[in-house]
Amino acid sequence: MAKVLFIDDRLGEVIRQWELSGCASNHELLTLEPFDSIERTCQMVDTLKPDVVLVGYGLGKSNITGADVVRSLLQGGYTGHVIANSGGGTEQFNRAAVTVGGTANRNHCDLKMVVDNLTKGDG
Amino acid sequence: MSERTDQLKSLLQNGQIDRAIEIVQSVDDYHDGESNVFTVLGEEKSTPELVEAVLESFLSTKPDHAGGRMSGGGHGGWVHSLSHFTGILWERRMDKWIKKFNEVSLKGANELGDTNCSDRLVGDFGQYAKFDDDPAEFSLTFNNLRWMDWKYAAYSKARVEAGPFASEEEFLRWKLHRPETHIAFDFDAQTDLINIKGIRALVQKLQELGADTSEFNGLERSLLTRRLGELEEKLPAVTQDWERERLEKGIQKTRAALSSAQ
Repeated sequence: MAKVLFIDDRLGEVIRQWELSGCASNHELLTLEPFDSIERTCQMVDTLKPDVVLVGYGLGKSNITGADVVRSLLQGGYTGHVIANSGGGTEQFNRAAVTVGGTANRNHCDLKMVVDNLTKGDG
Repeated sequence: MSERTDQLKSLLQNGQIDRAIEIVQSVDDYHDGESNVFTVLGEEKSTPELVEAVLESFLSTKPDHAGGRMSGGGHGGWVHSLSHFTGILWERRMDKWIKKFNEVSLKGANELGDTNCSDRLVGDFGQYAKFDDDPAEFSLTFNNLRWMDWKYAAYSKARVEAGPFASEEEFLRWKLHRPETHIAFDFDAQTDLINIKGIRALVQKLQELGADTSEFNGLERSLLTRRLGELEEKLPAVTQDWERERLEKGIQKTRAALSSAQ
């Protein structure tokens, strides 16, 4: 079972995506809260220790994007799986030269597939 | 933050609006366009002319082709970018631009078959529309929205169906009858609970209008009682500790709310 953390400002979409995906049958959804800041995100990751972090691109904050969040997590030493979860796929992450481990595309089928695939080999 | 963003901010802060307009008009694509929009809308010294220029420039970056499902881009990629700042446009009631962007987005969704993120524009109307906003004026007609999956957008669908209301009172009464108004995700319990704060705020607004709110007496108690039953029913089937903890917290909070319900 993987512990899954969403970093997003559109939590209604995220909740729907999670509920439809069926991920709850074998993964744990960590505390949801609207994106506030990179500092808060890093604090949540340090505290909750997710196996998978799903990151939206637009986070409702001027000049902070999901790419900025991913960079900060990696610079902070996060070694779990980072997945893009944007309506634009990985396009904007790629443009920002940020590498992610997969994409869930705001789609519930893609979410289940990518979380299962990335975590099946994990201990 | 990119060099261009820094440059634009510096020009704005120094009052060099004409040069800032040149910068925003020389945008390469919608990604840069989106970044410029956020910069301009976020700076106090931006002028109406600059705001017009940056939004016009973003509009001009719309691709004429559909995007790829996994690769993104295209019309749907542009609408996705647009959806990042439509909330700001609604909060500032920049109706001319909201209507224009909706028109262009939904035309592309229908003609190109690329509906990516167009549902967000519908959700925006549901979230922000005033009582007398006509969805048709925002290009939100059921003919334009044939591609929309309404299953998870019941409130937005109802709002579009309702059209403009005759009065604020009528709108508030309608909202208080909508089931979506009664529930909100509780971040403490991490589950959906009855939206007592939201319900009371709407009732208070009605009272401020001098309207009779007696039909809503007992609404809180009725909703809380039903929700408590639903939560308690789920408990025996829960197997994970983390799920149990959240459900128990939700039950506890609902019982507490019921003891002080109006």
